[in-house]
Amino acid sequence: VNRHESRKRELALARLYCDAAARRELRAHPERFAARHGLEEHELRGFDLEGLEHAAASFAAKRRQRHASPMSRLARIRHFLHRILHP
Amino acid sequence: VAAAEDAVAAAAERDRIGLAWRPELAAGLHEAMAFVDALEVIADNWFHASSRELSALAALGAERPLLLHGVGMGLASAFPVARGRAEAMARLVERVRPAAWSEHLAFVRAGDLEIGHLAAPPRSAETIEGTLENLERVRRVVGSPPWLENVATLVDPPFSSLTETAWTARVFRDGDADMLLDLHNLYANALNFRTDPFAMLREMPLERVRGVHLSGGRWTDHESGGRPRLLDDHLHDPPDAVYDLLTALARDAPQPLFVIIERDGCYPAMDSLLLQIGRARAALATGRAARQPDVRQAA
Repeated sequence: VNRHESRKRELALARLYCDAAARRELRAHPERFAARHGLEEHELRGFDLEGLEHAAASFAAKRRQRHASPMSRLARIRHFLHRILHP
Repeated sequence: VAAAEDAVAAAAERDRIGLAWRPELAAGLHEAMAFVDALEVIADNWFHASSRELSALAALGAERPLLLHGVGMGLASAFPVARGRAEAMARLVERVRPAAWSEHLAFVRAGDLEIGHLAAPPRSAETIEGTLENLERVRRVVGSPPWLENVATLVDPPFSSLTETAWTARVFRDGDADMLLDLHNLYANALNFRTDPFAMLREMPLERVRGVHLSGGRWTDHESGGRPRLLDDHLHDPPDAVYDLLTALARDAPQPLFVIIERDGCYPAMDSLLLQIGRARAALATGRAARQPDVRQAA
């Protein structure tokens, strides 16, 4: 497998982690998913589909958590500096 | 024999146990610094800090050994690490002069698609090659190599042809890098994929370990059903097994270790975190003491 193939696999994997529609397609029509991502269908055999859902849910939660953080990064730093400079 | 025992004792004395610094912990930490040997900060949060803010961080580093922990490079990938990210780390390292800096053996994006967190890469010869190239790339830009951290995963990474330990051992062997061993990540992966965590620990390149992370997690029960998996969420205390793994590591790895307790939310009182530091210290001491007979035998 050359570098190009390896990148295609990472792109497909990142899509599966981020996109519920891609995961549905993988389950229902693996041949279409493979064709869409330039992969061979046999490469998709034996996927840990259950784990994929767990991982995707975890990544989605992390993304939500980041966006919903009540304290911005800058505010956190200001908070820290205030504590250090004005103990 | 006495010299060998002295060497083990000296390593134990040089072990450092500390906390991952978070803004929410700052106030309590200020009062508890006497019990904390080292601190770790998320490097990416400081890439755009002002000069004044960096001076405060450097001052903190002057007080205790400071570790910079990167989360965004995505070293374990066939895609090259963006030069800008490596340069940002280089500037921070230059400014703060940490005891070490670290990054994960993870991919976090593919092309323009951001996953949003640390994903275990396909464990294959190709991703080893990509990881080594990225390692060399950042080593050149930053001026020193990162400690590389193993990651937790809820999915057995697709497109893999190697086990986690085989993949990891080859990266460290060929990359000549040091390791930040996250014992809860190891524990979670072992349980999720039905491996003995202590056997897994023994297969890791223990002679490369310089840093250790301790944290906790919870069992997930995804709506799609199936068996639950252990999620490394940094919101819970380290389980007993993680301290047992630390003891085993201290027994099998004679070099001094930086041990950092990580927490990213649901923060307990500082007293509780100090108790965890105490438990880590005791676990290390037990492991160091268990090593003594081995050393005597070898001598």
